[in-house]
Amino acid sequence: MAKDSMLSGMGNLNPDAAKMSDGKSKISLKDLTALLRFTGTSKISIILLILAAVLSGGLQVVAPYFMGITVDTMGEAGSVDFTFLGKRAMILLCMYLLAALFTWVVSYFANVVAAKTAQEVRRALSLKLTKLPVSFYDTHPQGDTAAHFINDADAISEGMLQGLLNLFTVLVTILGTIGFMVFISWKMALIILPMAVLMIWSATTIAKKTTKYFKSQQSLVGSISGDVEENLYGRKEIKAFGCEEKFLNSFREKNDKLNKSSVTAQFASSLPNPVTRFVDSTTYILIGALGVWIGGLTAGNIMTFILYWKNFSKPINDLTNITTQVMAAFASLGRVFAILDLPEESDDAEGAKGTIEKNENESVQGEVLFEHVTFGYTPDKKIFDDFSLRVEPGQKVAIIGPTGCGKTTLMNLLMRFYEPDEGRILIDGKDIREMPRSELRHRFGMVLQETWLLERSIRDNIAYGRPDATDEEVIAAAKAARAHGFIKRLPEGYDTVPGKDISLSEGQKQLLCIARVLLMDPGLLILDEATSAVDTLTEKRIVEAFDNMTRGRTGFIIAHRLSTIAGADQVITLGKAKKP
Amino acid sequence: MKKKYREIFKEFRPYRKEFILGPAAKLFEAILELILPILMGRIVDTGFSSDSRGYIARTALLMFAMAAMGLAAAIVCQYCAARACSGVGARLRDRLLTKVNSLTVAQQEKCGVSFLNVAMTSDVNQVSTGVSMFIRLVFRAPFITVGGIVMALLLDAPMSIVIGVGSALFLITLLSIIRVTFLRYKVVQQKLDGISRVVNERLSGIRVVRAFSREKHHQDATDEASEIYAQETISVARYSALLRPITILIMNSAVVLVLWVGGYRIDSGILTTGMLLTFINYIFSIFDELNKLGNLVVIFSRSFVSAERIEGVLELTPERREPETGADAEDHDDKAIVKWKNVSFSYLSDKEDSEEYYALKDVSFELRKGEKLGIIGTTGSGKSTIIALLLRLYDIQKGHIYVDGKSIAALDDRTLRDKMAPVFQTTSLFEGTIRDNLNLGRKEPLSEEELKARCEVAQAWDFICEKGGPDARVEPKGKNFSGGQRQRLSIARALCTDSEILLLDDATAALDKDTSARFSAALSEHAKKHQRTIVEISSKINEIADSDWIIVLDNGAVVGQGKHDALLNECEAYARIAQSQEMGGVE
Repeated sequence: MAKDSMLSGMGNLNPDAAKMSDGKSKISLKDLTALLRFTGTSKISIILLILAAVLSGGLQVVAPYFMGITVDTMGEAGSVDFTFLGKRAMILLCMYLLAALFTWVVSYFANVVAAKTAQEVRRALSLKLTKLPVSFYDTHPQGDTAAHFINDADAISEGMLQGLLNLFTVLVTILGTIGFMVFISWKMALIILPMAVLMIWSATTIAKKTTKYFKSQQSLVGSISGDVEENLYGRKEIKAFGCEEKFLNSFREKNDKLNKSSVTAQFASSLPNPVTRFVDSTTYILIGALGVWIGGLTAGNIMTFILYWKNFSKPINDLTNITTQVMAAFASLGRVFAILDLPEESDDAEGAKGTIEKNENESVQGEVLFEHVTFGYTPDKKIFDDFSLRVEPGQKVAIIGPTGCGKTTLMNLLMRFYEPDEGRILIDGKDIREMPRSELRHRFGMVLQETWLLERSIRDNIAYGRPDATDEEVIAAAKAARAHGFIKRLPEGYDTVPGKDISLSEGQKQLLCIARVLLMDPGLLILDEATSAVDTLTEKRIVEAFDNMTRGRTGFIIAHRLSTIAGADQVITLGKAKKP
Repeated sequence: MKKKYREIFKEFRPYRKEFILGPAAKLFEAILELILPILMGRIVDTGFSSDSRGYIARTALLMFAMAAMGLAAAIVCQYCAARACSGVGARLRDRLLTKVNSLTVAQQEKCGVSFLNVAMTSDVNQVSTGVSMFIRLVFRAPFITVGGIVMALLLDAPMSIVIGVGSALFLITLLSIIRVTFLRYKVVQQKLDGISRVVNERLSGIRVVRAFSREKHHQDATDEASEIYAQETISVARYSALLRPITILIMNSAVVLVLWVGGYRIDSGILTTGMLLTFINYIFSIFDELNKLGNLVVIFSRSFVSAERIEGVLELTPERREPETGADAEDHDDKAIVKWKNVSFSYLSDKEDSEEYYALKDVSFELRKGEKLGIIGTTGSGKSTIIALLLRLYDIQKGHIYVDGKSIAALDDRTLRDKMAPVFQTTSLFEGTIRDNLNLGRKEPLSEEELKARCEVAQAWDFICEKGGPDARVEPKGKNFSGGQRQRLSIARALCTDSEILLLDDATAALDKDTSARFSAALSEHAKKHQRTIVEISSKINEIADSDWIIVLDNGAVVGQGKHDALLNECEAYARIAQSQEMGGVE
């Protein structure tokens, strides 16, 4: 809503803005067709909108001409024909009413189409997220991916909105206006058109210069935000080590620089307004003086020209903003497609479907076999090289080793988050690649070091894998996970929302994660560093809960603390460490 | 704008000159602008005869000169605005950071770190935009409006009524539509946050989501959030799409009305067609300004919200406990370097009456110079709180803490904290070099040999060399180091100070068994050599077994204290922990 040229000076908090305008500067036909992919359902609205835009643009061209003629009929005192004037006024009013109606149609449908487009972009991204392999998430920072959902989708929508709002109307208005101007007086048209060019030129030149200042300001803003963030994040250290002054001094130095650079940037960015206003006034003067001087224009003609100049200068003034936004939209579109074009997780193997029933009836055995597995996240660094392992049903296997030796990789392969480069993994004699992923994963219960809870009630969190579970089942799972005790003491019991109502300790969160797994009653269990963030007493409770759970099931415990793995049937030491 | 924003207005004061000169220049430009349409009307009215060419040329030149002067005045104003808004922004940032640093940790946490961050960055920017707009536009818009109407009044009263009524109608419509949409935009913003929340939740838990095969659920939730957002946007559009058509319609109707009424006035010989043109030009200028005024309302309402938040922070004063007087002010025990007497503490200072919120209850102990104190207990039992209280990051509610025989409430923060060097459980490293980080608590940098020696104690020297020596870069938050390396660097940082007391909060949690054993041995030697007193929190019994005194905490209360052997026999909680760890100790 706010005029962007005014705000652009303050847009420096949004580093994307600068990034976006750096992006593509040409729009290709391919991009446009790509965009059309997202407008699917709105095609009728777009056609309606274009029609209304053309009509409202046409009226904006005809009305001033009509008005000029009307003024000229008034002439001098005593000669005015009132019925004629009244009729003319009514017609003009009707024209403006219609123009308003069409403008409304354009505005409203442009908004609708833009909103729907954003929704489609988000829907496509959302679907893509489901299909992308885990490796995508491991290599793309969460913030970047979230930014596609928030900023890029909105930028596409905003660019679309501005484009639709202005493109067609402006096109019709400008072309029509030029035509009528030439028709009334080609001499005046010759004078006015260069002024329009001058206006565009001055506005864009200043804007270009301004960008340069903003870029230098931008890096300072970033660096100051970094300082502020660091100051808050390390606040305990800063107090404890008494280095408030040190930090404040470095901050002040940058703040001073920012102040200086900001004056230049702000000043430069505020110049287009007065400068265009000056060109505007000059043009008025030219229309008035030269119109009378060489054009021999009537008062009505001059009025028409002034109105035409308005038709001209307004869109031109906005043009810079609109093009920036449209460019930004296409840059965002490019980023979105970069995601959408990524390879997806391979489909479940054929014939893999329909086995769920059968396996459940067979009841889970839990024999796990690694056969000559070779794997690396990058081709040049192998984590496993011809790795083989046999785990009997019901065995408890501990996997230890230093950081980076591939403990977690083992879990990634078992869960089919990643696929082995060579070799295969069998569960109960069946290659896991031949099972649907969902079935494979249902057979495993997994507890990770990083506890992940939703901002929803504890009940919902425990029932995450089985939303249809009854309260009794949830409570039973919580009891088995030794979590019932502390949940009961929470202010809202099972309805407490962790993270919102109350913050839980790592240990408590971990117990909830175990309860979540227990409710699933899986045949195989994986505990991946699940106790490294808790004290030994809590760890003991977690391990107890886990032991309780692994009875009769195959279990993998990945840990770097020896106390966690006591009582394992098999200990696998990975990496540099010696064999067990 | 009464006394409400007192603290913020203080920062406006140095820019008094800009606040006066800027708007004055803008007013000058506006006056010139109001004269232009009159001159224009005259040209049109007189210009039709051939001998008036000289007059037209003179008038046109005069008008051009006025427009140029207007431009010059506007540039002066823009410069004032740029200076004032940048300056006010810088001053506010400085004030805020200084203020935030002076607050207690408890206050910082009460405000919320992200809130403070927003206050110092985007809120300051918002206020600074407000300042700029104030100087540039606040006086101009009303002046042009009122001035235009007055000028019209001078020319012809009935016409000025048309313009006046039209303007009023325009303004009312504009403001009501803006009001409605602005309020709704807040809802839209919330819905956008909703998308962000769902997406981030889904991204952060991707492994669990996949493990439980719940992708569909999250996909649906994302789609639903996007749909709600789209609907909300469209429902706002229902109102915002009215803005342009209705305001333009009002403007054009006013023009038509001027034309129609003008017909009668011209017929009676009161007006000329040139004057008609003057009126129509006024309408354009006025409505243009009113439009800007509408934008201004939006910008200002944002600025005021931000200003309020900033003011809230600036008005805070550090809340410190009054030092004890009389007999409690000092403790005459020469041997104890730290002494706690019946200390109780709650993080929620407003709930200090209810026992259950206490993080520590009635804790007493003492520690002698050169000794080592071990603290053990389950997660959430209050171990870390002891260190925070020793550093006086929080103030206790009951009891007394003495360091070197003086109550810490009576000590200057600097004096107190200079005596201590902490290693926090969650460590923070700062952007810069490794050396900068290690010298954080020092006035004079350590010599190269000493630096190396202390890093060796912390088992950090090897990887520091691997990274390229002490002058290697540390990225923000130390993210180019692993968790174990960060922990060792922060141990080294504490060792690099000359403080008498080392505070270690589970400092070896991320280290493997061998490294942590080597560190323990090196630390005892170092402590002996440098006469350091040690307070060590650990979850591993073998690390504190050699302590001169051990405190066992459970749920904020001391359930046992003494030496290792005694505690094994007397303290059930301690024995239980020992047992849980011996079990895993077999190798």
